[in-house]
Amino acid sequence: MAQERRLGYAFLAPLTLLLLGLAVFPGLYAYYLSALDATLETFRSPRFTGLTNYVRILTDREFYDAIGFSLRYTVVVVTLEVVLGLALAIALNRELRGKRILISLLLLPLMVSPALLGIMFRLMLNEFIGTVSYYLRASGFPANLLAPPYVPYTLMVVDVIQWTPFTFLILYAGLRSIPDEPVEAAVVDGAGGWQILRFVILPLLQPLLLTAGFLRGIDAFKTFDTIQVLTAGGPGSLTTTASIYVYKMAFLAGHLGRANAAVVLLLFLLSIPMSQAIRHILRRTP
Amino acid sequence: MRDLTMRGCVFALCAAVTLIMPAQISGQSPTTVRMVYWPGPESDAMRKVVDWYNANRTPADGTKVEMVLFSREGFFDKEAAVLAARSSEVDMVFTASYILGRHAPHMDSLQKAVAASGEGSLQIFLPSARDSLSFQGKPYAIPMDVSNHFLYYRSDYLDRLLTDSAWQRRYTDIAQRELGKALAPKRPEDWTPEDFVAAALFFTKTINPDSPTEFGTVLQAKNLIYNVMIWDNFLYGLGGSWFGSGFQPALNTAAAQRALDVYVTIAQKKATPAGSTAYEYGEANEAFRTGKVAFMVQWSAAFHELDDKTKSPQVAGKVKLAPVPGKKTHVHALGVGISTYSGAKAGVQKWARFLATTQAMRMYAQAGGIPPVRAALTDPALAKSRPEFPVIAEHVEKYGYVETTIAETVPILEILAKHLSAAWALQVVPKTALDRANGEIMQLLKEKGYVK
Repeated sequence: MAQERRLGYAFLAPLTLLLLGLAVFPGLYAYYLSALDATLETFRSPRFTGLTNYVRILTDREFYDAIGFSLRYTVVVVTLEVVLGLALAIALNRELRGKRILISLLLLPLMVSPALLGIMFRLMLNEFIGTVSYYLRASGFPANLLAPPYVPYTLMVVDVIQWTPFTFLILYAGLRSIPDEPVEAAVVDGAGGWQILRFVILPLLQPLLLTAGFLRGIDAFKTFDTIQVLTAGGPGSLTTTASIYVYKMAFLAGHLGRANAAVVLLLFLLSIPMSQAIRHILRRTP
Repeated sequence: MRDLTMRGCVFALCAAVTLIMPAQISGQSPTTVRMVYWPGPESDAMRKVVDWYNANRTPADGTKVEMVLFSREGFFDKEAAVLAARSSEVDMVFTASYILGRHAPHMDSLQKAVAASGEGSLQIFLPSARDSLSFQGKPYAIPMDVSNHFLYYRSDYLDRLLTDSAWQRRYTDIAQRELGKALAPKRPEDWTPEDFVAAALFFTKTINPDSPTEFGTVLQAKNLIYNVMIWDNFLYGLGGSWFGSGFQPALNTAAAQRALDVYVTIAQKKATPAGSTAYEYGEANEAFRTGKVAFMVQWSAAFHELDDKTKSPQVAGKVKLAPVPGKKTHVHALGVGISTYSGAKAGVQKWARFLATTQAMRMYAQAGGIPPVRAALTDPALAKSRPEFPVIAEHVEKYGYVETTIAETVPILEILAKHLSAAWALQVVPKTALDRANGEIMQLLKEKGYVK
């Protein structure tokens, strides 16, 4: 028994060490740096400044603007991605000719790295050489979707294009795993399509809907690459997300201490809704 | 048997030592100097110089140069991390004027490393490029590539404006109507920022339906530090600068307001494409290349592709260069300097002295680099294939300025990019943007001890 336990620890050791090295140590180091006046120049000999970095971040209007934009962005894209993913999953959950090819095509945006997708959209949205702009102009719409009134929505659409396949994939797998019996029973009871969706499928899919929404929510909140490539957080700080704020604070302003303080604050701010969401998901999961 | 084996081993050892020692004594392996560079045309050009040096000078100098390429994305952040770790893996640091202040504390001054004058010294380089890689009055890097700005214009349209009386009358009418001043067309070489705005309006179709282009100009108005460098030309050209006396920020001055008004007026009158707020170098080139605009302020590197018939058939041969209106051009240089933590300083110095020669810089220019060395840039043979080179030399020498090279250069640029891009996008009124930028820069410089 003791030998079995030792063997168990031995098997766990590599992963534990990896986690300690890649997650726990950097996490603790971030806390440590957040209390120092660390910059790229003073990295080796920073001064201890206590809570000064936290005070600076908490009194910075742009920090709140960045969180506000990230929250709005997250709510909109996650809602759209879950709804569209569900619609696609339902639409494709039947026998169709060429379904496999269609699903493969649908998943393509997921394979592209976000930075590369940003570059592709920078070209497609260019008002002189971009295909999207060309058709918009031909249809009488404003040709530049990166101009200030439209740019936040354009960024959201790009995110939805890239990540709807992710929610689709989860929900499609969920739909395929729903047994036929409850649906057949509902049909026998005279339920229509909408009623079957509302009272049979959605309740059965709920854990997966929450999981998909939760995973996308975390990812959308920390969006960086696509927006950095397309707008670099501008004009002004109109499209600055929390991640871009932290990046600029660390590498452009050079305040590693303040950037880490911002990260710690974000972690605290998000830990409450995140723990609530996880608890909710676990409660709903059979 | 055991004795025999032992004797055999001793014999083999002696034989090996006898064979190896002379080779070690006669041909000491050269010291390797590791030089960091970023991939792209600069490293392609440098590769040729390195190869030539290793093939021809290594035996005499006892130094071999090895170029290490970091990827371009986040290059300076990676390099700063290597320097902050005091790594001796890197002997020569690749730096730029705007980041030098962060690198300099980890670099040796070149004062003693290169010759005091003549070949092998920094005197061969153009003064503003040399200054752009100096920190607290001391040179820290050899300027390898210089970047500056020009006014790029369509000579077919601007020439017509100077000869067609109907166009001239309309130009004056538009200036009177839109700007409240009856301005007359001038040669682009003589433009002031005001002429730049007037011409931008004249060549905008919504203002002048007969304009051959849809927009007069294209502004690079994305929230990027490089776009601030372009705007700075108007600030300095109108008599302003980042700082007043000492390091007192001077972004809320009348000159700064006028410089910002140049961009804001053009944006308000829609004389630049609507998407300019997300534009940088590439997008501006596309607007010019596709014939949508009549002129623009752009980096010197663009000429080579805009005047190329295969890459830009619509505009090649019709692109001319003039000074940026206001006759000031931002200058920054990319260069290499010596890491304080290098363990091969003697070898590094030999290589540095070689780089500071006209011979090395000519080689670099022939391979595609833009070294700030008059003798290389005005070389008649080279000027045939790169006609912009002599113009670069002239403009950098005559109109070049360096904002500053202090460690806070990038944070200041970042503050400016954030606030100015909001004004360029008409999201914030110019005065508010300038006041906010000035306030934040003041706070930064106070924290760092530049301002009391």
